[in-house]
Amino acid sequence: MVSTSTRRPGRGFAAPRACRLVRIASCAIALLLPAVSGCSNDPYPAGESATPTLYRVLSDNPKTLDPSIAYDVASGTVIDTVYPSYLQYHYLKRDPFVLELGLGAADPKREKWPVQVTEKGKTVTKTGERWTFTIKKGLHFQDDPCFPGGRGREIVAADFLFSFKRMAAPNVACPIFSFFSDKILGLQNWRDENTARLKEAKKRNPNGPKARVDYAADIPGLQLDPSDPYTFRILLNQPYPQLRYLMAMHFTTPLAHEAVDRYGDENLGKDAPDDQKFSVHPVGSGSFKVTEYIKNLRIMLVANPNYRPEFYPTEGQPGDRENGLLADAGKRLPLVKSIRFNIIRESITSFNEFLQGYEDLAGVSQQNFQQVMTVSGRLSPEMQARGLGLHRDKGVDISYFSFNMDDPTFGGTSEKNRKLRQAISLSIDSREMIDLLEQGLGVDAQFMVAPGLFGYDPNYKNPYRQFDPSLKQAKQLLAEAGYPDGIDPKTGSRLTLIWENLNTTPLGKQEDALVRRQIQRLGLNVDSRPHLFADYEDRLDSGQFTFMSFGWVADYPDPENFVFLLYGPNSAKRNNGPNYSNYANPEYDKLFDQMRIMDDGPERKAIIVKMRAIVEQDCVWIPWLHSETFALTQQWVKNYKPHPVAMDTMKYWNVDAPLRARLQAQWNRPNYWPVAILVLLIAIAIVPAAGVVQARTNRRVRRQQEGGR
Amino acid sequence: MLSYLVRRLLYSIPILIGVSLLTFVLFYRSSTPEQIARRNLSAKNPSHEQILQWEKQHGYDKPLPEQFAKHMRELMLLQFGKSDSLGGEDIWTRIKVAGPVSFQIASLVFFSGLIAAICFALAVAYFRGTYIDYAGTFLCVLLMSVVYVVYIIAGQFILGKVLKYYPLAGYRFGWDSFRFAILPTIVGLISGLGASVRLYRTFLLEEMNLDYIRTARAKGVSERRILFQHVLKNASIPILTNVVQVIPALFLGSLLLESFFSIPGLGGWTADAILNKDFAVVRAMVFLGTLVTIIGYTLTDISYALVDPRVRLEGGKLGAFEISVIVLAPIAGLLYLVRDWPIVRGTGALIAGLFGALDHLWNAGIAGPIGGFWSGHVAGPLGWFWSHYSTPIGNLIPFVIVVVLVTAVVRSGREPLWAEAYRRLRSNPIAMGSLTIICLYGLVAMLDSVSWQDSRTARPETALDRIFKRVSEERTYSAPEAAISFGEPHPQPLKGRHIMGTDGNGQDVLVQTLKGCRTAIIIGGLTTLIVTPVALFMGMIAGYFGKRIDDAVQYLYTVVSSIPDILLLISLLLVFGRSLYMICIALSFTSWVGLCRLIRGETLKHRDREYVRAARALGVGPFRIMSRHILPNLLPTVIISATLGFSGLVLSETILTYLGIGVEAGIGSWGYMIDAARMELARDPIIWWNLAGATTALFLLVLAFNVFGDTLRDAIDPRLRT
Repeated sequence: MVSTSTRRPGRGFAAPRACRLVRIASCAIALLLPAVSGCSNDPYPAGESATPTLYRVLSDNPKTLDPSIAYDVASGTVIDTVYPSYLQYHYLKRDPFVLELGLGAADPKREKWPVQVTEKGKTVTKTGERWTFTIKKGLHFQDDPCFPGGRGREIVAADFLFSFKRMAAPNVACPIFSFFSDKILGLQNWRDENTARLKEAKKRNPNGPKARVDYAADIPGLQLDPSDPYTFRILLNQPYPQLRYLMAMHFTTPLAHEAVDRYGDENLGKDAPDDQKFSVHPVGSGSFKVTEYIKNLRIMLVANPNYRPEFYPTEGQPGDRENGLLADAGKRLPLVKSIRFNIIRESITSFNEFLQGYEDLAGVSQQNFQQVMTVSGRLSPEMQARGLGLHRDKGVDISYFSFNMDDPTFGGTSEKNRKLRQAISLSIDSREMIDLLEQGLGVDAQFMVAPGLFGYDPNYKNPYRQFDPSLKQAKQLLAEAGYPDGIDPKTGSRLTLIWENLNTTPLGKQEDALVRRQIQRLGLNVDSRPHLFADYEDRLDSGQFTFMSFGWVADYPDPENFVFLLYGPNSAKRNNGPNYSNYANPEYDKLFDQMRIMDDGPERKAIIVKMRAIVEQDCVWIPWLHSETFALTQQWVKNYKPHPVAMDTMKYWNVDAPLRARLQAQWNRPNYWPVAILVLLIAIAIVPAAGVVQARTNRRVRRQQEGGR
Repeated sequence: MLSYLVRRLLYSIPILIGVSLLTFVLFYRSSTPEQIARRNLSAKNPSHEQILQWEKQHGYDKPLPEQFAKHMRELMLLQFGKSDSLGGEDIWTRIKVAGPVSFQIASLVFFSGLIAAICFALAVAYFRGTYIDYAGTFLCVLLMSVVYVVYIIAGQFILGKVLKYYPLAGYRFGWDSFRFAILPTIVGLISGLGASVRLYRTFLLEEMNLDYIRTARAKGVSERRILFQHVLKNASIPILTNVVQVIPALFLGSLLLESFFSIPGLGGWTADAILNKDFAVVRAMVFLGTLVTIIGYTLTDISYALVDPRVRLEGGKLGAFEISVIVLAPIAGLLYLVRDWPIVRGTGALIAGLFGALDHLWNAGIAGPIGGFWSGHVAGPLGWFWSHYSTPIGNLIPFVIVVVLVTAVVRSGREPLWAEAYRRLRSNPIAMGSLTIICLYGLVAMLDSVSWQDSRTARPETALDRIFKRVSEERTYSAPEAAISFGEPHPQPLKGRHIMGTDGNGQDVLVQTLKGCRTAIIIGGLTTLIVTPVALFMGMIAGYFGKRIDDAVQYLYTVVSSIPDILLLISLLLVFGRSLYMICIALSFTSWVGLCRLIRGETLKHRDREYVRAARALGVGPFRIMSRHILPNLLPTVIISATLGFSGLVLSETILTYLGIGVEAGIGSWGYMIDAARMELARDPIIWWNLAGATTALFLLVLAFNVFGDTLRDAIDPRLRT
């Protein structure tokens, strides 16, 4: 086992050691040289930065790229460029947002129309609506192997109706189907028939080929014009002005049945190759087409050669011309040739890449706020020196706290509980929250409707949202509610408010502590329960909460899309709607039914004011924020203007690629001397150690005994 | 050798079944199919019908035993199917793309880390007792106390802003990938270095003190030869044992590395799947992880045989189990091939029917009444008891820990071996210093555990709270000793001065740091208190008795250790709720394995030594041999493992907090403070004081434990006596 050495220590030692050191050192250098020399921190293929490519960050994988299903921001950002719609938002105009024609050739024609509806077994005639749409001629889908010859075929009206049917198909989980289901004539029937058919086919032959949805069947509400392949009509059993907005969402994009037949997840067998599914392989007709998608890494898009001739708008708002937003007016879109989405989850990483010049856009967050901005809300000198552009983006959204109206202590319509809610509402200092959590950005919300929309009143002050540091009124209301100083007379101890929330991130924990501190000033106890998103949604859907916090981003710029969040029939618990508070006030619901179908005008405004008064007194919600964010663009990015609703905006953007390539090279010169110093330091540290080794090897037995162990 | 491999292969089957069963049970305890369906359906508010349809589509509507049988069958045939999440991508396709990426990063981290750790460990072990050793200990503990996230941010900062050699994040396939892999590799290497060097140093020292080394020296063998040919070769057995434990984690890549460097590997995907309750992906990953681990264990055993001529790999004779498996496996395979024959199909239907009946019986006859009894008579009162008394019980724990320690010291002090050790410890100022530090931490934890209420309606306050009652609470961040707040658009004057500044909620960082002591002591102490006896017992009986007992223990820990820690922790915490004590229990569940393996190995080594044989020949009973003869010899290893484990446990709280399953809000914890640093360090100007407070506290505690562990180990090692 133990090997013995015949070599005597101490002799002939120095020369081979020196040789060995040299050998080791040269080996190390040989290994290190290729690692260090010629290295570059450019994450892209060589030379790509000098081509007109747009670099963007996604903070997560899109959930799906299927336009009938996608409902999250990451998915929308990608597929809205692939799937255009009948109408689109004007890129530059705001206040109000303007819808212009996309694939449509004429504005939709909306007219009153008598329709036959079956109600309780009887057929009655109701006043509904008929909408007529005419699309542009000569539109083509992108080239794809699913089409004969691989060339994208022409788009016809039937492709639009196909997409409506697909939304209703029982094996496609369309999140906004409930918007249409009770309105388009016969759509729900068609869905039910197909559900039954699929079920029966499965029962008859469980292992046979999957039954298909009968897309060929006629639906009375979706009509083609027999004489004109470019016109289609939609019949509704009730007035529905919001249909206009829905025609600007990717759900209503024209879909090629060839693509769905070949790639559609609902039609594919179990063994279909993964990269050829509709959820990752979109086939659209938009300005770009997806060429590569690697999850957790990147999505590549290139300009679609079949895209219809579309040109940069020639007019905008006052100030747009001065900001250079009209420099490319009249040019053919899209302006860049490709887009590379980098999927980067950590905001630190993506912002560092932005500072290196490898990303074109970045957001301003709590993390980089002080680095990027000055106190007065301008760019910091450091960022100005980099030539960055700063863009203010007002979100069409609302963040709120809500009580569960089914809760025995905090919910309900009794005077006592209402006062309790009002007291809690008065204890929340949203100004402090905005200052500490949002860097002072954002509007202190008073009601549901977001700024920039019809029905938003900047002068309105909700009496129960006026924070007073003395909490006099709040304490009085609390006492009137039967809890003087927060003490529940029944138990003799403090009343506890259980607050379900999503505050698991560091920022969330800050919010958590802040809100708890604010409510506890009243004397109440707050028991905060943070959840992961998955569990949280379950909880809200099933109404298992007392107090919660949540947010809503508008689908379209109509106040209906906000006030329907408290509409009784939209209850989450009872009808799977978005009304998580389970609020049901007949008076409010009646007003909602009226305002929903009205055109904007003083009458509609009056109704919204009435609804506001009801919500204000009932204090179901504690709205606290309409968000406001800043975005940063590199100096080579042109034509950037944030749009809070539209996502198909990248076709308007442009980059000065040669400038970008030059600055990237200039900003990223490798710096070699720190490593050289480090190597030197290690070498110096090794010398005494080597000396000790040598000494120990050479030591004599006697000396060892003298010196102890 | 061949029979050994056959046996290994056969044993892997029950292990795979055990692992799958455990994942299956955990998963079904933590979420219902309905929740999974809701989670993975795109619709904002899926209807009941949609959910049923989804469950049917994914096979969640069948009786549980049938589901499990199907689940096992598919896994064994490597038919992982499609992910439960939206879009339902094919799992195997994804593994084929992401697996090699994770493998590349993991193997780079693994091998470079192994080489670096061994080099450093050799250096510090060789220069034991010199400045290099002290500096090494200090450095290692520092490396251990600083959390992963800080390395990542620092790595990105240094390479990204200063050196600019490599890309900050991303990945490209092919040769270019190495350019992207270097930064994650360096970060992964450095963050793991501290703990491994400390551990390997122990193993090396163990060898260095043995007689044959002295003999070799006396005979004039060169130091280099001693170090590399004798010490390193013989120390490689424990090192190898230790290395295998890292394999499952490596296979899954590092969750944090992959998400920070946006590397499209398996780690990030699996973590998402766990959080999104994507059972199809989780089960596939666990299964593959187990496979890799089993292969790892087999390779370790083979390498044992290679480095140690005393070890022979023998399968021995095949027993009833092996033979039955050998006979049954081809039959099962054959049956599968002819599964479409009517008779087989009929039998299959019969079995499915049987499963259905069993399931019905289970639901109606067993699960129902038991469940009713459980929720009515056990869970209810338990929950009531827990909700009323959890705080007092928790407050008792620091005291219990102290009492246990004191009793152990007093009792063992009566024994001559230990009395001598304490005498030597007392005269060592470094040991006494670190002991004092540990006691101070314990004291602070105890102060924070004594609380009382001033009146019935007031909130209870601990003694620590009362001491710092006069420290004012600010609005938000403020720098140490600053006069105005920090990080607000409009800074405001502060109410008081704060030596270490305030955190985002305006709390004094010093007070928060002190309040973190209690959590740290409870997590580290309670878990160690649970783990050590369990691991000692299991490891010693396995090592001493061998045979079936050894098989059983090995089976148990292989099953547990094959499931990635993070997955196991998350599932346990999702099942049992997430209080401080549940975290301790969950951590015990995952961390006993390492210690147990180590103890088993050491016991094996001692079992055949002369003194044990002599005792056996004298007729001493097995348990007495274990407690009297083997245990004292194991103590140095146990102490080192416990000290290292202690710091690891305190640190794992940070990872749990990162994943959103840390201790409840409102309890002071260093994990929260460090997790907040993720945001704070990325800010510019940087907020360092919050992280500095927590890291310093952590560092001092871990350092004290390590130094004390070292000195104690030296003190009780009979070979080092003069």
